Amino acid sequence: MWDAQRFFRAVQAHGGLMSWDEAVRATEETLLSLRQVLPEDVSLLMRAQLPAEVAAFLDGGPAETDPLVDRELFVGPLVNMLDTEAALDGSLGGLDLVSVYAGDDAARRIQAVFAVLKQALDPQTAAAVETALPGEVAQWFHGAQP
Amino acid sequence: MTRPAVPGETFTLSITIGGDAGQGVESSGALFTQALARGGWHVFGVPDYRSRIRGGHNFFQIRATRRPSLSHSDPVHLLLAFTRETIDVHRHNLAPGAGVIYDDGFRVNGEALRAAGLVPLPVPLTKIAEEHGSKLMLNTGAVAAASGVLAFPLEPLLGLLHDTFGRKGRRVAEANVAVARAAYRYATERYRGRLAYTLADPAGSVDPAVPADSEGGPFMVLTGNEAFCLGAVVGGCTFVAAYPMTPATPILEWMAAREKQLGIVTKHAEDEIAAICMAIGAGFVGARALVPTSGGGFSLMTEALGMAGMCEVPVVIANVQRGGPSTGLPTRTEQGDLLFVLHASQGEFPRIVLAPGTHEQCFEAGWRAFNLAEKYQCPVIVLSDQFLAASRRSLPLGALSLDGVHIDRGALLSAAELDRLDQPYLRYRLTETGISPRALPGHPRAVFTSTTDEHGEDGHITEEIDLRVPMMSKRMRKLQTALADMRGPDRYGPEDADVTLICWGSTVGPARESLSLLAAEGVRANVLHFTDLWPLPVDKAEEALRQAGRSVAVEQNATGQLARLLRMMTGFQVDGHVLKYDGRPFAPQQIAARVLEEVGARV
Amino acid sequence: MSENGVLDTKTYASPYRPTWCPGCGDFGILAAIKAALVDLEIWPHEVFIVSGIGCGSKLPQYIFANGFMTIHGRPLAVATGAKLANPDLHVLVVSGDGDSYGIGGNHFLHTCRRNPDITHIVENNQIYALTKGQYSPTSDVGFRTTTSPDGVVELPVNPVAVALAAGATFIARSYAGEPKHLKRTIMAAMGHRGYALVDVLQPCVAFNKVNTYNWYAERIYDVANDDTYDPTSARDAWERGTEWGDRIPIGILYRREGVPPYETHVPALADGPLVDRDLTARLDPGLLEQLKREYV
Repeated sequence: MWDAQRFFRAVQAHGGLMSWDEAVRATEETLLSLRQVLPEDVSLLMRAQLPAEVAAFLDGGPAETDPLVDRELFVGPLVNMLDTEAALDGSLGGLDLVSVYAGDDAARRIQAVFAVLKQALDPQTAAAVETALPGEVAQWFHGAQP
Repeated sequence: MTRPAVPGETFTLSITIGGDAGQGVESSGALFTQALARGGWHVFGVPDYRSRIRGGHNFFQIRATRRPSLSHSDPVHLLLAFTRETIDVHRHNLAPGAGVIYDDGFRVNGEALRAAGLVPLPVPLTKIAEEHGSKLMLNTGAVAAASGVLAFPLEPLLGLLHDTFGRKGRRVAEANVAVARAAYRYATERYRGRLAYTLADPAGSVDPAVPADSEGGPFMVLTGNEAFCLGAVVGGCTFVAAYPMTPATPILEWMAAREKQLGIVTKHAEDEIAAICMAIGAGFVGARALVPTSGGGFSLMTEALGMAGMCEVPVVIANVQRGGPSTGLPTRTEQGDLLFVLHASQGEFPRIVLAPGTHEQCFEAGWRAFNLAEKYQCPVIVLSDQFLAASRRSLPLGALSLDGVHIDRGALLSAAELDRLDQPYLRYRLTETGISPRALPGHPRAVFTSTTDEHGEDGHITEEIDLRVPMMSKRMRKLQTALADMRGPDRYGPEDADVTLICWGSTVGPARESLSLLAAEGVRANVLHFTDLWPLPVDKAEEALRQAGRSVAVEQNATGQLARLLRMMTGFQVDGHVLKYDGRPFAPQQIAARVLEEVGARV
Repeated sequence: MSENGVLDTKTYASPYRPTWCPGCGDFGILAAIKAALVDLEIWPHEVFIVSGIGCGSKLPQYIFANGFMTIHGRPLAVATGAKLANPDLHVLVVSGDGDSYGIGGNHFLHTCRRNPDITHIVENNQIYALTKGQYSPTSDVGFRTTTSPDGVVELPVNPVAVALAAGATFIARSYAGEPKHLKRTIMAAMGHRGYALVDVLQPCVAFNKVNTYNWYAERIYDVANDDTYDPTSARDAWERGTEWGDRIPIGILYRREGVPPYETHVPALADGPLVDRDLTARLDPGLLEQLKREYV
């Protein structure tokens, strides 16, 4: 059984994240999206195999899975946490957006969390998680290298 | 097109009814006007109100003629004074020997009136009204008394009272009739023959120089707004949205009153922005939608006007102009919005602007605007004004007819045509004419989206140069195509006149009437009247202007907006201006006098 | 061609890719609308989606259905006109919080009391996103943006309370992060006869770093799970509708059925939609003569 320290450290290493805190956030936001799409039995299996601190991020999800959560919504919580704006846009007003990078960055971080999950979970559970994911996100999971 | 100068009128009698707001001056004017028309007279009635419910001087001026007339006329031959102040206000505009009817309870110095060459005609109006009905019927008595003084028969008025007050119950109608009879009897017994001006018999004693009037009664008496509504009805208008604003409110009210009868959805919206947006929504899905408003409301609508232009949605906006700027002169007339409506809203897009000048032209604009809006898939603005919209004019029934009226929905694809469509439907297909075949939402083969952003042929947003330029050019090409439907100016009077009065919209009436006055002063003049103002038919305009005599722009604004438009589009520079922006309509006499000032020394 | 084959979410697929930021709540709203229309068995040609201006108002561009992206703040008015002209169309309005509650506030107020059969989906992200980050009418007090550098001073508009006070007959709130809930809510709203407001709480991933997916996930709860909640009670609706902070209720907050929608009161529509009228029918000389007689 992994402990939380090891889990977050692994996420940080996989994602090349600058801080411990970023690893915790990446994990939290990925699991926030995961809990929308995981059937309850898979979620319970996962919880049993994850450190309590990480498993807690799966708490409070909706009673049923949400088939309408797609790739875009899946990255939402993470993008929301990332830096998406540069300085003030002096030419056209408002803030200058860098959200396109944030989308790619979020996908990379999610994949880092997936990579660690695949190590922490038994193969059957990992396979069940992959099955529950929306198309493109399932590919990220599949391609995540532990 | 060249037309005769004016109806060959030689006889005119003008009546003014004046009083405070809240005294029923307008309804008295309308009643008298219609009674005169029923009695065989041609009439032209103009209200003059203040923007308040009560207090302040209002008046209604009626002109009775044997032949159709185009405006009111000064001076006035009979004054009905509902207040003592009315006499002071209108004294300067009374003809020598004019009569003045007033309640005998007013402290009026009859001797002073007589000394001024006027004929005092006190009548116990309050007493008669209270005796035979109620004080509310004083106006009825006044109109009847005026009829008596003028030797005009009472029957037309009595019939009208039955028709008008019948709705309120037989007793009300009968009481009004009793008041009318009593006041008429009093005036006839006391004053018949006292006045040099009478309305004895319109059919007899017509000037032999004038050919007999082929357009005998019965006459309708209606306002420009009403004529426009009739035109809109036959033109297939199915949707009206508006926010009440003087002087356009009667259009909304007219439609609302007949919603059930005519099947026209009438929506009093929360504001003018909502009104035009509702009309655009209705137009988008296929209704013929109308938005009546005045300048202030039109100002609020300008952003949505651009939406109709950009998304090519047919919609008709009637801007019944009033005195500006801002709240301005709310109940008065002006032609101050021409250049505004031509340019209103950001960017460039096609629009069509029509400016009817007479009641007949209001009717025509009512149906023609919808055809043009659907044919060219753009907003059409009808520019009327308070003078035209509110003046009551008699017309032979045949003057408003279905001759020429037709429904042209342009390139509107029928369900059957859409069924046969084998290509994906492109709402904004690039075409030579600029007109893209239009489908209405609801057909399975023509699912489409539209956007106020620049878009491609399928209606999807684009900012690409290679799509923007062709799409913008396509839209603007419609203006070129529409020129075929735009009419050049009408000329009234001799082709080879020394002086040409250039005008647009409602000014044509008094301008045409002024020609005979000018002729009497030795000035040979004609009128060039522009009705189709945008896209301006430049070739036709230039040809007409080439033949113009010394040119004077006669407009009800401060800057000569038509003259500026002509200069901008044709390079033509008018020689002089007669401008008026006091909120009161031109009387023919005013135009004649000021044209003489303008050109007198040089003619 | 929408009627080839079966009706599924692919029927509603547009060839154009949304230009929204990755992770934008608008994706959830788009998915929910498509799914709701499919489940309601409505075809693309039977629906008319009217939007205003803003990120979310671009939605009609990304769905294969009749659509009209109008001008800022006015889609309710445009939609009302369309509905009155052709009540056969299923009319949806999709616009943001600035569009609906700010510049379009007057139309919102009057559409509530007017009660046309229109479903109004408000993408409420508490920010002006298309202009890149200014505060909106629903931004919380203290929210710092480029136009509120010291924090917002004004109280936020509470759309639920406003709609309730203005007489709306269906008021719901949902959350873009739970598109399945949103789909159900939209279906209920479209099933309601009359004006239906669906205020959709929507994270703006780019400019709103306060009201995030996480923030909502911690706070929202569905009133449907509370047996004591009575959505037909204006009192309950007021109480929950004004709850905002640690807990935020979603679900159908208020519904009053049986109120005939505006268009059913319009006498001119008794004979069916205006768009089906034969316009030449008015060229009957008898009609004009009859109208002219009023003036003789």
